[in-house]
Amino acid sequence: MAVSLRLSPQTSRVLDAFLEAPRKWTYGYDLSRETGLKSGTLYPILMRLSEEKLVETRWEVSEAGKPPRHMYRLTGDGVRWARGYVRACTSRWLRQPALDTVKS
Amino acid sequence: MLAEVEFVDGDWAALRWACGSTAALCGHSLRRQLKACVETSFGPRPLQSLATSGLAALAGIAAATVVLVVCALVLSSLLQSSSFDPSWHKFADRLLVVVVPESVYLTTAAVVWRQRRAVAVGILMSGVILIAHAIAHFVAHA
Repeated sequence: MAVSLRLSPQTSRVLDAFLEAPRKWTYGYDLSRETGLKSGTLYPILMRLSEEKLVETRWEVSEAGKPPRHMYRLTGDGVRWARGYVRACTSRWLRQPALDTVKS
Repeated sequence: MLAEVEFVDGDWAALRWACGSTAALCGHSLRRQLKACVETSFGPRPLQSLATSGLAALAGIAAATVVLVVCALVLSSLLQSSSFDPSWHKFADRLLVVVVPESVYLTTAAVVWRQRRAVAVGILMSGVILIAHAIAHFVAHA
């Protein structure tokens, strides 16, 4: 599966959050709280994942007077790819010296 | 993403969420617009088309040199001719150094535009060099 996504710690955090419950639908705000990412960082990542068909989206029908919310979850391909991606990220960052080690 | 604002705790946090979401939306839509614009102008393989345009621009520069040399030769032979009226000097100069080469370029680009847009872009790029030359010419001979 050819996926053109940058290896970034932020993307890894989003995928980690998804992988905690891979088939569960999640709101953007909940993802933001789990990952600590701001909306301006989180949504471009979600859009890229969605463009690569790694994340699927749906609208939640909400109660009257409240706007419908967008929900996200990994697709089947997304779950497989995310596991490999997170493994690759972890091994890559383990090979790099930690920032405080470099400073000291 | 902006609907989530209703569920964000606190006014400032909601405002920050809205600003971030708006920035993300703008960035995404700008990227899509830019991509669509590049694909419309250069086709689905922009790098290949840019290379074609570059080659066409180089060929255009070579052609521009030839056209300008020919025009300059015609002009100088006109000036040396005994039957040439000196009051027509400025008109002949502008006609042969600016109007003729620019017309040749614009016409060629217009003809090629429908079939080979990348080549036409290259021709227009070299036309820009001619325009720069024309401006320099007018400044020098003002």
